[in-house]
Amino acid sequence: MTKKVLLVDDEKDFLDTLSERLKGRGIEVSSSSKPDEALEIAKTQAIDVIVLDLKMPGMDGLEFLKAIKEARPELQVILLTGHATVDKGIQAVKLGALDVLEKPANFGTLLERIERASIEKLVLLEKKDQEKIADIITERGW
Amino acid sequence: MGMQWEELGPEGLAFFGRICASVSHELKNSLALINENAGLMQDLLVLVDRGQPLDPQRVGTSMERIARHVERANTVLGNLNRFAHLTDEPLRELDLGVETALALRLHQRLASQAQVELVLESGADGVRLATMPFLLGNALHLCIRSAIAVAQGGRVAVTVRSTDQGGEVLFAGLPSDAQLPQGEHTQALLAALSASCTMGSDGMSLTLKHLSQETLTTQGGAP
Repeated sequence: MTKKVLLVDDEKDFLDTLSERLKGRGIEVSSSSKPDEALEIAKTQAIDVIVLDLKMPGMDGLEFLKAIKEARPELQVILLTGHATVDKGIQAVKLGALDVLEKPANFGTLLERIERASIEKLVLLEKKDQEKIADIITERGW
Repeated sequence: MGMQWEELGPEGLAFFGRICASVSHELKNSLALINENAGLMQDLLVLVDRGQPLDPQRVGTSMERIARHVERANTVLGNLNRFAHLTDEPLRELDLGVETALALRLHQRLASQAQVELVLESGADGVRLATMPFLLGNALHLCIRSAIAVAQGGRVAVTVRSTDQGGEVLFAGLPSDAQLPQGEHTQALLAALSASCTMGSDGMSLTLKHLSQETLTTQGGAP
């Protein structure tokens, strides 16, 4: 199944280059340099993994993370940032980020984390489906 | 009136830390961009090995991005270098416009995070002032941070002009009830610089008087 990744970073050159590289690996990529726009994409489009910068104009990456986890808890978020401190990393993981990578990141590592995040999302969705089925059986077990 | 470096206390160090953190973030962004473009060119070579023709336009775009970010990182490093040299001499005659321009460049990232535009409107040279460069940098930092905090989503126009006793940096485009930099550290800093920070109808003003070497020595100023 094709993985769908949303890249969010205020550096347009970086977004374009990373998009091109990921697309070259068969990944479907959306990108945005504006947090509000990115939030809308994440809420409305089929996305598996978000690769997110911590510092963006108008919205802190942690705020973004919180908003997206509230709206779509199954979405997996990887922070890719030049501004990572241990505190911020811990906060991000507490808010539900799967991973925190520091810029400049190794591309192989990023691909590996995207793969892991996609699997994590599938597992979560499967678990959710099983819970739904269990609920239906319990409620309508006639 | 004088002020030892150590008297700057945690706030003074925080100033140094904030600037370095912001600059290192900018440098990391440029390095990340260069790294990804080097990787992209490697990807293109793999495709050539597999028999696909090399697209000169894609290579050209990557090289342009690398060149742009090398230039940007070099500018950022130049600013950091000038910032580091603020501690070279405790007191010297400097150009207030040039130092203000440097301070604004160092805060561009912080401003853009808050979606604020910092614009130096006056000519960046011509106002000579004898003062303590590092403490001046610290005072400008406090003013710029205050301006960014209240000018959310707006524009701050900065003007540098000479006065009878020294010089003035004016931050226009702020609400009249904007909060000035406060606290013991700010008061001590302004006193050491013979400076005042006030809010008037035309904006927030940092007014600085010339300092003399004698003042610095007799009052136990910076080492």
